[in-house]
Amino acid sequence: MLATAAVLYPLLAWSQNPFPDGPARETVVLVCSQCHALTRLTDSSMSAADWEFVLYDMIARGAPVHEEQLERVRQYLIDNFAVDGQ
Amino acid sequence: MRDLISDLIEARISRRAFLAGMSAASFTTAAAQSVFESVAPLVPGSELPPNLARRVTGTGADLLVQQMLEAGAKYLFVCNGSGLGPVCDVLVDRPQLQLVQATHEGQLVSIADGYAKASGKTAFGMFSRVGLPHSSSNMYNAMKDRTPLVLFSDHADSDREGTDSHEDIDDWLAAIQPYTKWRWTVHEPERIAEWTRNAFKVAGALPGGPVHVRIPRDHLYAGNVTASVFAGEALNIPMALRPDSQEVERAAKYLLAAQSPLLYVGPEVSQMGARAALVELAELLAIPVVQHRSFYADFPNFHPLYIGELPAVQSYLQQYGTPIDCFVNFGARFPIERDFSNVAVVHASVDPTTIGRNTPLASALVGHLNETAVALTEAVKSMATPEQIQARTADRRARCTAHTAQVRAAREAAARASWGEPVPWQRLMYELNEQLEQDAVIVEELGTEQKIMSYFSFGDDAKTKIGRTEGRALGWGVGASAGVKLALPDRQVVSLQGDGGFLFGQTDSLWTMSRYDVPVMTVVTNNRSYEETRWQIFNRNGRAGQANRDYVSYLGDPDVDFTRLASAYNISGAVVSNSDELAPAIRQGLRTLREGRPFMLDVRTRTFGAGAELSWYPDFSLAEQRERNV
Repeated sequence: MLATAAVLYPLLAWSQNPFPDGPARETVVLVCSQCHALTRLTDSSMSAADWEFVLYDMIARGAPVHEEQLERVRQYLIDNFAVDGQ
Repeated sequence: MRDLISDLIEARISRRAFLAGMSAASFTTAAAQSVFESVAPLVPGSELPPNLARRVTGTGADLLVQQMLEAGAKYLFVCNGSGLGPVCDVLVDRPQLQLVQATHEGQLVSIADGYAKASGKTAFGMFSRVGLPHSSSNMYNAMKDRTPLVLFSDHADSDREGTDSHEDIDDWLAAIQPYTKWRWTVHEPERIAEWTRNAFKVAGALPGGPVHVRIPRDHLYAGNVTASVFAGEALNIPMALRPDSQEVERAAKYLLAAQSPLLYVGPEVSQMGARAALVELAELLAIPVVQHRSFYADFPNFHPLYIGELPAVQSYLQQYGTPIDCFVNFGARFPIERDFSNVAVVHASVDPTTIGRNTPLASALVGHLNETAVALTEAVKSMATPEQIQARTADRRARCTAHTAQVRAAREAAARASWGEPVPWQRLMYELNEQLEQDAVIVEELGTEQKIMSYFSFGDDAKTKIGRTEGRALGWGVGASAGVKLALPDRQVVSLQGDGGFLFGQTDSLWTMSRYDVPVMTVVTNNRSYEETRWQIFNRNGRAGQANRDYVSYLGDPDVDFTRLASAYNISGAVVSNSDELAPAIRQGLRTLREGRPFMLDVRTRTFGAGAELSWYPDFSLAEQRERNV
């Protein structure tokens, strides 16, 4: 029972609020959803360093993020999706 | 003089009487003769000027070669085949037709395709009668791109064709029907020049495309064949067709009335040299521009109004705030997955069969795209004063310019921040851009065009992008880059390939580059994976992805060293594993190009995303099943 709860809890949390409020939330949802499902973000289990790499890769592939948003987007992805948090 | 000319054309007076009359009217003999020659084609019974057609007697291959030369052929791209024997015999006395040999018909077609795309001219090729199936994948690419290619082969002797005998099947042409604009088997040696002309005209008439002509070998060897060979100028058809003026006016009204127009550009723009005229139209009305996935850069991609591919539109609209209400497609196939309700859609193309095919149109502009862009600009200017246009467009211009500047700055920052080992591909692009000449040509066959568009500035006064093909059948880019360099020998040419794409049988074209000293730098972004294929399969979260089984995308075993492949063809190269090594390796490559030799740069790049960590593949070794060590 405990094991089941431990597995389900994170899923439940994501389904309730997969994209928590934050200064870059709107940009992340808008930009990422133009090319792929947002579950690619929520289902990923990547480190902070990997998220940074992915962000720069996606921008290079044409994800239209503004330079002035870049740091906020990077921090949002790491804070909310990196398995090693900060 | 007018009366004399009229009498001459109406056959009321003879040539002698005309000249006498001109002399009596105080014209010199030379002037009178000149006037006569200028109106001679209109005189009944007169012959064409002698330079437009001449009678030639020779072998069938003589007629073929002479008509190709008249059509402007500089190179004939060939593969080995005994059927080329009659042509070889002709070349002894016609050395001006330069053969460039490939070792595989598929690569022959890609070399010809690159040559045609870079030169804007029709390319000629010839291969063995049985080479047709090999040629067909790049024939398909050429057909999707409407590249003008004339591809010949020999054919079974005329007394054996259709017997399913040696090197023959019942219907060679049926297999390539969808891949060719036109195809033909010649049955009379006297008509070889005629069908050569026809092939050239059909391939080059807009929209162009590959054509294939088969000629029985006995017809090529046939002697004492007499036929007319036309001069090149007789084959050039002016194609500057202007669109319907009422449609132009209608489209201009939509554009002027639109609050949020969008220009969608495709390869016909570049094929017809319409970029400059389109830039003027876009700048006049401050229309944001989106690039169709094209084998050219059809609008300057660092222009303030250029916002990228279609998925980038929403971010621009977030800045601008008004939904698209007028969508103008200039020279692209339509993005059929988009919803165009409540949008005035305009489509300009030289190809009436594509216009309105998938989308209801507010205006259809059939014509040469340069003429169409010029006509639209003139129509808009006739309907509104510069002050009125400025008032309507100032806010859009400012917002779009600010948006695109921010996006470009973020891409630069992303590349500068990308570093390490294995090399991030964007770092590779950044470093290449730092060192390549301003007008270098990038030939690319990577997963997505955006990898190139983000880092190199393309335009009429900048770099040139050629590839990836719209057909997207891999196995095109290496050969195409050799063809591009043959067409543009005085410009740097860099071929960007994925490791997977290169392994689609493209090693063959290194042979051609090496033999003919074609100095192309081939850069392989070697991430040991068909990365985007892996993403597509794994991100569907099917059984293979859930089980972490990468059935078809992993390439790390064997771990190919592409410089060693190049070395077998006497081509030097370098392997780069770390970002620190990039700049010196690129410098080494560019030095080699300047010395006139090709170069191979194998860059070990990082892969990521679904399945990136896997090295699993369906392991199988025949060793376990062998019972005898033979």
